[in-house]
Amino acid sequence: MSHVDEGTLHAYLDGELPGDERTRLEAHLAECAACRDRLTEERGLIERADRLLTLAALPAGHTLRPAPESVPRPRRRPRFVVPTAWAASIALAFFTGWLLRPGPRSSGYVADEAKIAAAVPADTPGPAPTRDAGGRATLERVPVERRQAAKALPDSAASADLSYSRSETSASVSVTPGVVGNAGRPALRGGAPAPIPPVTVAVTPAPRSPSVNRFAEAGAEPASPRRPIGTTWTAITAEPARKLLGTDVVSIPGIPVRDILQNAQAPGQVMVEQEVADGTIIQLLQSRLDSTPALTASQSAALYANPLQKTVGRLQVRISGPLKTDSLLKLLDLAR
Amino acid sequence: MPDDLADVYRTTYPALVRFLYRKVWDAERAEDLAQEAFSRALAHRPENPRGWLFVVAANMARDEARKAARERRHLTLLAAEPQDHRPSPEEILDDEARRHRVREALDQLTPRDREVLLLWDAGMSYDEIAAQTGLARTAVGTTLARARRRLVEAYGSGSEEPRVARG
Repeated sequence: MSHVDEGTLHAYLDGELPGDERTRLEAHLAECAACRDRLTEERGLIERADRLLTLAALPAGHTLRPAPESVPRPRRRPRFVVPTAWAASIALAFFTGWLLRPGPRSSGYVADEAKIAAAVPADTPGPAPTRDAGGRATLERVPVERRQAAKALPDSAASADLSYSRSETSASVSVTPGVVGNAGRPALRGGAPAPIPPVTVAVTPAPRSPSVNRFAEAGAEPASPRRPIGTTWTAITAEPARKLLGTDVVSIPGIPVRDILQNAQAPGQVMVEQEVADGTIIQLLQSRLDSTPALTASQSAALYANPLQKTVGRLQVRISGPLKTDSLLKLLDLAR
Repeated sequence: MPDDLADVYRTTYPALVRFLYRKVWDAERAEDLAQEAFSRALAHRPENPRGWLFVVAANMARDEARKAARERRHLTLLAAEPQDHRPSPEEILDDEARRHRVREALDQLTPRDREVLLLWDAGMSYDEIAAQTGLARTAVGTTLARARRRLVEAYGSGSEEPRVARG
C-alpha cells in the first residue's frame, strides 16, 4: 500500500472509514513510521480545529427553548421590548406629561411645577427632560408662558438637588427634594461630548405608583443612566477619586470610562460609568472601605428590586441600555 | 409535537442551533431559525427529518446572510463562557476577541468546506454530509481535512498568538 492521503487519515480518525479500508490502513500504519507521524499530526489538527469551533459555541448562559407544541407559527421573541418596561415607561410618560402640563390645577403638584418653571432661565429657552412613550429620555421645550410665569417666583424657590456636569442641554431644572427623582439625562450618543458647565437636571418620578419601575426602562430604549434617588453626583477625575476611596477606582478594563462621579452627599462614594456599546451603560458604585453605605433603606429597596443590578461586596454594578434584558443580565452577570 | 419528531427535537435541536449560530452569529436568531425549521418539519413530516432539518436550516441561514446588513448585537457574544467558571473582565474580552477571530477564520473557508465542517461538528455522519452536500462519500474526509487545516491556519495567522489553540 502506498502512503495514505490525508482524507483517509481524517476519515479514519473520525471513525468513518469502512471496515475493509480501515483494516488495510492499520496494516500500513504498523509498517510505516512516516504515516504514523502524519496520523499524529492530523490528530493534533483535528483537536485544534475542534477547540476553535468550541470557542465559537453558543453563549454559555443561553438556554435553549422548548420544542414547539404545534405547527402554527415559529415562536419569535420580541426583539427589544420588555412589555412591563414599556408599560412602565408609558405610564411614566403620561404621568410626566400630566405633571408638566401648563395651566393651574388643584393637585399638590402645582407648587412643584412652579418651581420647575422657576428654575428655567427665561432668556435661555432650555429644554426640560421628559419621557416619550418609547421610554426614551427626550427633551421638551418648556412652554413660554410657564417660563414667564416663573419670573414672578423668587429664585430661592428653586432648590437644586441633582447635578452632573455633562449634558447636551443648557437647561437648569430643579425640583424640591421631596419629589426629586433619579437624575435623568439625555442619551449621549455618538462620540464623547465635550465637558459643558455644570447643569442641574431632575426628572420627577411618579410617586406612590408601585407599578412604575424607574429602572425597568433599561430593557427598552433609553441610554440615560439612572442615579440612585435623591443623590447628587458630580464629575471628578481618577486621581481625586482614588484619594476619596483610599484605593484604586474599580472599572472594567477595555471598556471606555464615560464618567467618574462623586456622591456629593457621601464623599466616600464614587460611581464609574462605562459605555459598553451604543447606549449600554455599566455603573460601578464603589464606597470607601470605612464609610457607611450612603443609600437609605428606601433607596436600597428601589435599587435591589431592579433586576439589572448586582452587588458584589462593596461594589454595586448596574447596567442599562437598549439591548434585550436577558443580554443585559448576562453582561451584568459577567461584570461581577 | 408527535413522538417521532419530539425525539428528533431532543437529539437534533441543540446541534441545529449550534450549526445555525455559526452561520448567523446571533444565538436568538439561530434559535428563531431552528424553531422555524422544526415548525416546517411539523407541517411537512419529511421522511428523514434530521437531514431535512439541516437542509432547511442551511437554506434559511443563507437567506439570512443575504440580509446581512442587519446590525449585530455583540453583547450576546460577550456573554459566552462556561457557566461554572466566573470569568474576569479580561477573560471576557479575551473570549470575545477569540470568538471574533474564529468567526473571521471560518469566513476564510470556502462555502463548501465550511458547510462540511459545520455539519460534521453538528454531529452528522459522512454519509449524511455526503447526502446533504452532494459530495461523494470518499470526498468528505478530504474536504474535512482541508477545512480543518485552513481554519487552524487562518486563526493562527491572526495578529495574536492563539493561546487557546494550545490549550
